Amino acid sequence: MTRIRNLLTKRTAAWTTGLGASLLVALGAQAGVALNAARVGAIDVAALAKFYEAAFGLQEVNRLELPGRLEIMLNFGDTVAAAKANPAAQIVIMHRDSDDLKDTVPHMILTVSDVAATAAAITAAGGKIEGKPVPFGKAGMLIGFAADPAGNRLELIQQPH
Amino acid sequence: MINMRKMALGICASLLVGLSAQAGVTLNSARVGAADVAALEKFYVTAFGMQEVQRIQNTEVMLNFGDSVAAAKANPGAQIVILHRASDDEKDAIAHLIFNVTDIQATAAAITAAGGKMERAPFVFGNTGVTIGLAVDPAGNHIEMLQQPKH
Repeated sequence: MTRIRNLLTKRTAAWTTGLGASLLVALGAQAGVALNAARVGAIDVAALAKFYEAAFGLQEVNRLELPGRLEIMLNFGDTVAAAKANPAAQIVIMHRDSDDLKDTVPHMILTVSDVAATAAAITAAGGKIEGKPVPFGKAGMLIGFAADPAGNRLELIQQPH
Repeated sequence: MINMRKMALGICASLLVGLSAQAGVTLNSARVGAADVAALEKFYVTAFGMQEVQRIQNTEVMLNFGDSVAAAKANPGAQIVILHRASDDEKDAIAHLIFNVTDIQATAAAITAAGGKMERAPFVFGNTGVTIGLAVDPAGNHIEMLQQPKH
């Protein structure tokens, strides 16, 4: 890391794009470890991918088609190409044999700019709002809870405007 | 000159649109559960070099990557969150966290040393050159490691 930092100091001028810098921040971490993706499960992977595309505007960026083990990778972007180029962590949907889990942990947290609009989009796409958006703390943050059609719990956070 | 400035603004605006994505939604964090949040936090800090960036009492801890706490707090990447749950006795086989790693053997060793378990030793996935390893953290959450082919 010290070497990378020295290199950075010497070549700051070469880093002309913000994207390069944020990529470095994301990938630079100790021990060469970074978050690749968050993953949820579903019996019907393709159907759940449709939900995530419809509710949140995600795009399919990759898929693995192994016998009985479809896996679909999604990311944010205005186009498939933009989503594929998005350096942020992906959302992955993987096959499981049952959606009947008693799993109460919301494994994904989404940052949203309009929690009411996202809640409406979730319902329209076949998901369920489990906890209507409520203020958290005094700063104006709103938090809501939902479940996708496969029963995975999701949390929505709207930062104060 | 004014036109060029307009053009530059336009490019910036379209970049912003590209990054902020449709419907104003982005991934904030991936989350796992644990009966003992503090113990599981120690595992993620030790095994992967993560830093605590926020904490809500003893029920929820937010972690991110960075050389220092300040760097981790400034990291725009999605966080990893550990949330208290009543029991770790769940039959959840989904690996909710997937990590990019540069040295999968070193990470596997770090996981074992920090109290996790390797479920499947790193193997090359098909003809992709990608090496995959599967592990379980001390609270029983399944996690996955990906090492891209070396160039």
